[in-house]
Amino acid sequence: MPARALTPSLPAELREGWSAALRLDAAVLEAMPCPLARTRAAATSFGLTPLPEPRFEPPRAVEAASEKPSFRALSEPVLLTLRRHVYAREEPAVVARWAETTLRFCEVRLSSLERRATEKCGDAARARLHVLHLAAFLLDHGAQAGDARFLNTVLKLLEARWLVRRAGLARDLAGPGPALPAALFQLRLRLASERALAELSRGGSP
Amino acid sequence: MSEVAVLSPSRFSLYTICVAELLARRGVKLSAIYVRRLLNPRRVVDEYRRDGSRLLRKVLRKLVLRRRAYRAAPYQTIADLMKTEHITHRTVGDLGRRRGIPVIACSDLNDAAVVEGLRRTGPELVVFTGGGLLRRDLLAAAGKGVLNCHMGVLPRYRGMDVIPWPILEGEPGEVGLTVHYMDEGLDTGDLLAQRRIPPRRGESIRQVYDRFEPIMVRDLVQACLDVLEGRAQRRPQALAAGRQYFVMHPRLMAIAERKLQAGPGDAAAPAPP
Repeated sequence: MPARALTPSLPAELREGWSAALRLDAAVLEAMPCPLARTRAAATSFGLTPLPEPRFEPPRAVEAASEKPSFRALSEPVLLTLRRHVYAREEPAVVARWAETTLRFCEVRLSSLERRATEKCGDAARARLHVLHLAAFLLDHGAQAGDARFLNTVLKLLEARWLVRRAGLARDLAGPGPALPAALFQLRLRLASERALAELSRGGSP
Repeated sequence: MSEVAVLSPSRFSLYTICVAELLARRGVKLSAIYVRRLLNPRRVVDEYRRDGSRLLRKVLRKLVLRRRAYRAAPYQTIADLMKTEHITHRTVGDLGRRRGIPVIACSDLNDAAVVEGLRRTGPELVVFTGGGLLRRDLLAAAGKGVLNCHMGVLPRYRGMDVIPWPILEGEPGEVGLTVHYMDEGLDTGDLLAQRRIPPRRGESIRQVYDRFEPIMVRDLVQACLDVLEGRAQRRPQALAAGRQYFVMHPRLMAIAERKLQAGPGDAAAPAPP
């Protein structure tokens, strides 16, 4: 499929990153935590060829409602369950409770988030992936709820050098490797946040 | 005569100087002014974490330029208020010396020395003019309570930058001020007085802040007098009706600024130059 005209304001590294993602195998994109699920709207808004929508089927759904929301309890299964709720527009009260708690934690603990995430996840690479995944949940929830506070927090997270590696993005996206999931989340977050900013500028909601 | 203590974020705070001076002129006896020290590493780190690069601009405005930071405007700024009210104190210390009010420096307003000072002097009321969250011990030593004027409409807009947030959200009619009692939460205490002040068409966010400062002084002083004279009615906040907001990212601030410049704003109000 020929690529449509690209929006000039989209940074070149994101355009190149998206092209790299289009070359990836579908099975890679569908592997959990499925970083590029539900990116069609963001891609098309910038004239990018959308990816085939990957199946979003978390392997183990957890009962997020039974957990007291906290950063400590925010495991990958809980994040996947919350994202599934967001995409299916179900359990809005549960999702909102987790999102609000996570938003507050990220804002108040922004400067110590790397250390706290590393303590929680065991190593720096897993910590980075976990926080990028968490940011994707916040951004998706904020977009659905029309609440720009979540975009605000994600924009701050995207400025953290330990979290976002702009220079190596194309290399990390080149093929399957340990850095690929984080690179895909990074691509998703930057694309979705640029779209949300554009929507807000036009007078819409994020 | 009623005694009131004042909590201040800095000895250079024009807001503290105006509030304390106007209270004194209206016959309120000030038992002490507790002032946070500026050269406090913990404070610098905390404020940098919260404000980021904006801290430099804040330091420039509040500590270096001070009254000179306010340009001539078609509305009253806090510098104009000082001029019209003939308030000439340069620092909180000056005010204390001229009026015979003890000015007590502290690293943090929650310091044991501040709590002990309040317990010893037993003011009827405490007025907050900035300086961070207050802890239970201090609140318990504050007589009838601690009054604050929040630059935002409560309960809907709690927290930081709640002038630009309603503008960004397309709710300029929800820009305003609220005088409330402080509790251990962030802007969650009982309400006393509130006014909505929609921004004017073409105004910048900085101009809105500048325009609100003298109104905050007057509203806080009036609320204080109302409490002391038994006229005030406190009502609890419906907390579920609001959200907590955080420091706004510069890219969102730029969008809020453009929205404000474009209107709608208060069409009846004159546009600033």
